[in-house]
Amino acid sequence: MDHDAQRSRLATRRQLFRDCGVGLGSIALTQMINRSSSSAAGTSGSLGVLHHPARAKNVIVLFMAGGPSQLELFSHKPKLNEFHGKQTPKEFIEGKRFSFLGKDAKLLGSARKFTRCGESGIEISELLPFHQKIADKLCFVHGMNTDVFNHGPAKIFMNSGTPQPGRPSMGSWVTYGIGSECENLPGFVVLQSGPRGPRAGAALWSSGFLPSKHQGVPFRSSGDPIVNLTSPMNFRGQRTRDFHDAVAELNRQRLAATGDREIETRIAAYEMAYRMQSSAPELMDIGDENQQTLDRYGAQAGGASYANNCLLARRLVERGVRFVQLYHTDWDHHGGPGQTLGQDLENCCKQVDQASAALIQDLEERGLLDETLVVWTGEFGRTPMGETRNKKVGGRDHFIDAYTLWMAGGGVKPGISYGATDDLGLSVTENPVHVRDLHATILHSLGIDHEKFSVRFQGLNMRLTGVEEAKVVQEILV
Amino acid sequence: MSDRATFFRLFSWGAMAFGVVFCAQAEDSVVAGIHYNRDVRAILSEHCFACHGPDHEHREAGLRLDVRENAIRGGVIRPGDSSDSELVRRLEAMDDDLVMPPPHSGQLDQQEKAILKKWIDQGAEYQKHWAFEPVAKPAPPPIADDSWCRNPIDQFILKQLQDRGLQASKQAERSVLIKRVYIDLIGLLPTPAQVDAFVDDDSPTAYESVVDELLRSEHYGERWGRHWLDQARYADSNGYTFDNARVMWPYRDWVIGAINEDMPFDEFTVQQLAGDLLPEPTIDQITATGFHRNTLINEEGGTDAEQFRVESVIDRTNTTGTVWLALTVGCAQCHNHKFDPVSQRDYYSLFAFFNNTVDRNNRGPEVTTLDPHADEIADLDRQLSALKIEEKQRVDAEAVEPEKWTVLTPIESTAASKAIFETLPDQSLLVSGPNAIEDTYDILYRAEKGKLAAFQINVLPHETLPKGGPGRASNGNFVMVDLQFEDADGNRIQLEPLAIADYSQSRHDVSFAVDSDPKSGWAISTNQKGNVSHWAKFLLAKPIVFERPTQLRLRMRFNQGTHPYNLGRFQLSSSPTRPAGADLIAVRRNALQARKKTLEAARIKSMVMRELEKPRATHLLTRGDFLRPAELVESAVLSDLHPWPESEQRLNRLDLARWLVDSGNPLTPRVVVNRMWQKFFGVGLVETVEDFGMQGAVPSHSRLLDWLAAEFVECGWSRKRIQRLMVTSATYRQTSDVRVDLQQKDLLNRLLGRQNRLRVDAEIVRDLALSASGKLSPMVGGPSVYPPQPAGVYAFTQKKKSWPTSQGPDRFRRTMYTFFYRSSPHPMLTAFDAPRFNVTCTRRGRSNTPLQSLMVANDPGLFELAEALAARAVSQKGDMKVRLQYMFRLALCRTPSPEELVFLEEFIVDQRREFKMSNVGSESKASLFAWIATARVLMNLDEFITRE
Repeated sequence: MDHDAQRSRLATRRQLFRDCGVGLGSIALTQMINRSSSSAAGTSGSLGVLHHPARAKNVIVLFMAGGPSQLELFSHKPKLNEFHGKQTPKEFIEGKRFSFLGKDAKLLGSARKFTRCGESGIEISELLPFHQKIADKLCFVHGMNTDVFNHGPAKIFMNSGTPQPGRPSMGSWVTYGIGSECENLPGFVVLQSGPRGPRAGAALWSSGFLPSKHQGVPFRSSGDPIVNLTSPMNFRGQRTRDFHDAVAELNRQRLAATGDREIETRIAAYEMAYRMQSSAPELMDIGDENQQTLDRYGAQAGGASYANNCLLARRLVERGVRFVQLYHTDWDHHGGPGQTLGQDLENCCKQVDQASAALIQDLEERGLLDETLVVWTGEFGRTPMGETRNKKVGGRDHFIDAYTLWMAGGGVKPGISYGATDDLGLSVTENPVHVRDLHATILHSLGIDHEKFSVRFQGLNMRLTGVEEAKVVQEILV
Repeated sequence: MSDRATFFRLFSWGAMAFGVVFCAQAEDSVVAGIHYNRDVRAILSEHCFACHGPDHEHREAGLRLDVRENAIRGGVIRPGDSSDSELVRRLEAMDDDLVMPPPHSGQLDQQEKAILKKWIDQGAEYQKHWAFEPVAKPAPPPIADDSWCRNPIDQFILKQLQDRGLQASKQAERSVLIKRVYIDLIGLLPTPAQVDAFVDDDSPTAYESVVDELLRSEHYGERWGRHWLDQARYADSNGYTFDNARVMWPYRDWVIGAINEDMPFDEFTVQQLAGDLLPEPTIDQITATGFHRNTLINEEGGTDAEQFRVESVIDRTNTTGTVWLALTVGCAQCHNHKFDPVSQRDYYSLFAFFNNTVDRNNRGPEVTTLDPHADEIADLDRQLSALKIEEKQRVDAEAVEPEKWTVLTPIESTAASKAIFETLPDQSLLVSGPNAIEDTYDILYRAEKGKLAAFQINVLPHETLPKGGPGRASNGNFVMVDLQFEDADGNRIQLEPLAIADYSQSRHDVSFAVDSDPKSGWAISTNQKGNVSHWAKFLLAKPIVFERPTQLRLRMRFNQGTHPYNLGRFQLSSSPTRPAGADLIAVRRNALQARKKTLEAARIKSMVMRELEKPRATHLLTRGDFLRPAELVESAVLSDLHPWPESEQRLNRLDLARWLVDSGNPLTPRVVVNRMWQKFFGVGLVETVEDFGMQGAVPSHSRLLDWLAAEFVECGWSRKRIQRLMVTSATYRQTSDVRVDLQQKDLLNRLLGRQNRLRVDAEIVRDLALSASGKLSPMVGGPSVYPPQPAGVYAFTQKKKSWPTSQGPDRFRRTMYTFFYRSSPHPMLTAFDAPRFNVTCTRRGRSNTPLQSLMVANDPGLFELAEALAARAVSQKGDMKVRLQYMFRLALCRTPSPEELVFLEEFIVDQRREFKMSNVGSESKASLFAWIATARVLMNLDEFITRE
């Protein structure tokens, strides 16, 4: 586009703002304009128009931080049980890198019972009884693989496509590209449950070199959901409105004096902040859900749990929030105290099983599942070899060559298993899916071509999927 | 424009299209015709060079379009005849198999095609990329009426404006101008008095005086140091997963100091990149090398240290490329650069400079920058060596007489508390009765004639004592804080400052009973050792000899602070000989060493670079993977850019640093002045301040850039000189008010027919509030501090960070001193686009979001400053109007307009009434709240956080 065209386009938008704008600033207006045109595949993000029709509007990522064991949950390997305690074939160990495992690690069978579920007959472990009931709605990807085996870098990689901190995360890319449909809440929201926050922290929802308004906003389960949401004591209620009115009035006077339209954006930002002060607490208050819904998730009003967060995820996408990410810690089952594949893994499963399944069912019943892509994943999987901690073999090390995740809704085929690993789960034998492919596929579902979606930064056309080849996994899409 | 999103949108449409069209109109518009650098290169670079450029490994059909002789060979380009050029035929081909660029990649638009055709018709002359051309100092263009111009900068600017039929803007109002230059140079607000002084000063150099004063301010080093620290990716934690705290602030303080003293940029460079390699480097020069120790350290369990060492070397290489050369050398980490003359081999030759340091994903080498107890440590060292000699002599002598203890008989016992003493058959005293929180026992003993060299006190259990004693505390413990002896004449008997006991509770060593500190004392943990007897021996500094039987007085003081910790039963003995010497020496040595350790803990150490004695071999890494080393490479500079003398010796970091700041280097001076320009005008003369390569933006004023770069080198790389030139220019002083005619012809204001309004950086948002409220604590440097931060910041981190909220002056230090955890920065910083300092940052975003609004409106730390601003206004003499005006001026540095004043008066009256009705308390409280509400409004105005 040449300069004049740019200018005329800007000028037209400006004109529009001027003509419409009393009290409403450019952000809200941009959203109104774009919302009205969204039927024509327009977006409120940088892309303007989608690359192709979208199958999903929103994304919910259920991030099992620490790396859940696919071998205890989704990947049934009778042969591994048979070879339990045997030396791992040399040719496999050669050239591999692990965090903690030695070269002499022995294979570790799984004590878990698997059941064929639903019409699809997909095998799911006894640890996830609620998942067993919704097997036909899920799409399992067994050939997942990634590049890095330490938690921090691997989580950053899963979120941003590079193992180093500093790049935009997936949620930031998405809201940057196609905006959000919610005027009263941020477009990219992050929730957290479990004993502690995920490793690498804010790098996981950073907007990197994209505008900071696209960074993920953590919503806390106690106190202010958003930092500084509440007005200072004695300055609440009508005083808050008075405050905003006064700020807006003086800002308008300065706008008149200087002619700088950036002030309009500031006015609009304050208006949205004001709206968020009521919309965010209202969102977080699940007291208005009926008991049946709360029970289905296992959520409790006023509580803080993964179950509550799943319910909040539904409430967020219901309100048009584009990208929701739930972190649940801690799935790092190496075998030491608090990290066993026995009781500790069971606890993790109990914490997420029911609510994950409830989320899928609830979205479906409300007609939201079709337009919401749900992804359940860790940053990597766990080794078929056992790890010795405290002289006991009770866990598994990080594993990047083959692990399992599931997806649902948003144009993904339900009730299928895609890809396969060998009998011991050591490597992918069929349909590998790299993290880059996952990124490409998620973007594709949203109507974005990952190859065309780039931002020039430091001389490079940066993409979520990077420079290596990435493919959309068409086979799992409806 | 809404925010950075728009900036990026423009960006992704193609900086080159913008550059071409804009510059064709803007610069040299009188020159008809097409210039390769200005008009053509960006088109070829964007559409052609990826497959037909410098990267020989990915070159298609053997065709190279970036080198003329290659491009005209075989008629791809026929100079003078576009219609007979294969290039043009391919551009316009309809057949998918023939058309170029290939159908799946972006096509050229009509205007771009027209430019290429015209360029070929004109003869297809190539030029070297502008940024790689040597810097030549152009003469400022003559201007017919140059009355507006104040220095050569203005001639360059005005020329281009006039060429487009535009005029510059008038100077900003003085109150706006002084606020602007204060914010830009020191990041703080002028006081109303400083504004008045400037407004009323009719000297022709009034403004220059202000500028000079600011350049001398030590806050200048803070503001400009912060800009540099962005590039140095300085932070206070290790990053990645655990993100533990680190000490790097001595490096930060070095930067502030160097900038304050206007250290020439070449020296500034050499010290930071290679201070450790200078001959006999000073501690400061070594501290400076912290620049490249700001890389991350991954402390997660199970990491491969080599992997993260290589990561940090890569980061050092890329950062050096970006900061000094504005070249995206990182592109060549995995493959030859597609656009710029940096091959993958070149990349690893640069990498080799940084591949020889000792650090390996750990703290590595450090320098002690501050040793507050250096003298005492030296003294302790002397004592320790003396002890060693003494020990040797003792062992040599072996003539230690055995101890011979005689129990002494008490004659008279009293206690300050009136506690009761009972003498038991073994001559020990048992205490009962009053048991005060603090007590002093005073006991008179009979002593026989003879020599006296040591005392021993046995503390003994007894069934009448709590838990069996030996103390009277509820657990049987005691704390003896002081012990002394007097002879019959009441003279104090001098004791060694060291005592020996069979057991002392931790941090309650027996020697504490004979030190000068009345708070420390000897205790025995009965939890640890049970309620059993213990002994302590006290040595006379000099043995004394009694000619006849005499009396001695023992005085002991007990004090634990909150509860009675008095002794319950004890027995005193004396010996004519000292206890075995080695025993004592060990005790003394332990005490000295413990003291030394405590003192050493107060040392401040900063991470630095240190070269390995034997250099590491550097390999080219296939696809940048450290597990796939390929051929060996030697360190080498990018000599295509700027040659460097051949050397027999292996080039090291010092050579690299000197090459970077050699006066002939075409990039460094341009890059540095461009970044200064960016800070004063919002956008660099080259917008892509991080990329001067072929894919970077074309300069808006290339001759001005070169003039400034040449001037910079000529004036000895003085940043203050160049900045003074910039801020005293008429261009800088213009008003930032929007003008319709400019908007029509130069929407983005790249021609600078006015100044720009710029939202201030994250740190400055709060610094301005600190300024306005009068709360600012102006101390420069020192450890990072912990101003208040909202609750819940660590709800999302792996580890809860320690955040001991600062009290006192540290609560109000400049925001650049706020402790920065990379995984969970202070939320106000990230809300206002501060980088996270994982990688270098040369250009911050400037977004405008609701989270920022919530931050300024509600953050407790900022609200506290609004309260202080209100208090400051209220304490001012005068009526409400006067006070309002004063508050307005404190915050915004100008007098309110009549409309603004009327509005604020109504607002405050209104608020007072409302607060009164809402029962906040007394009338004065309602009034105070109304003032706070008003101060809060002022601090939330767009103008407050904007440099106008």
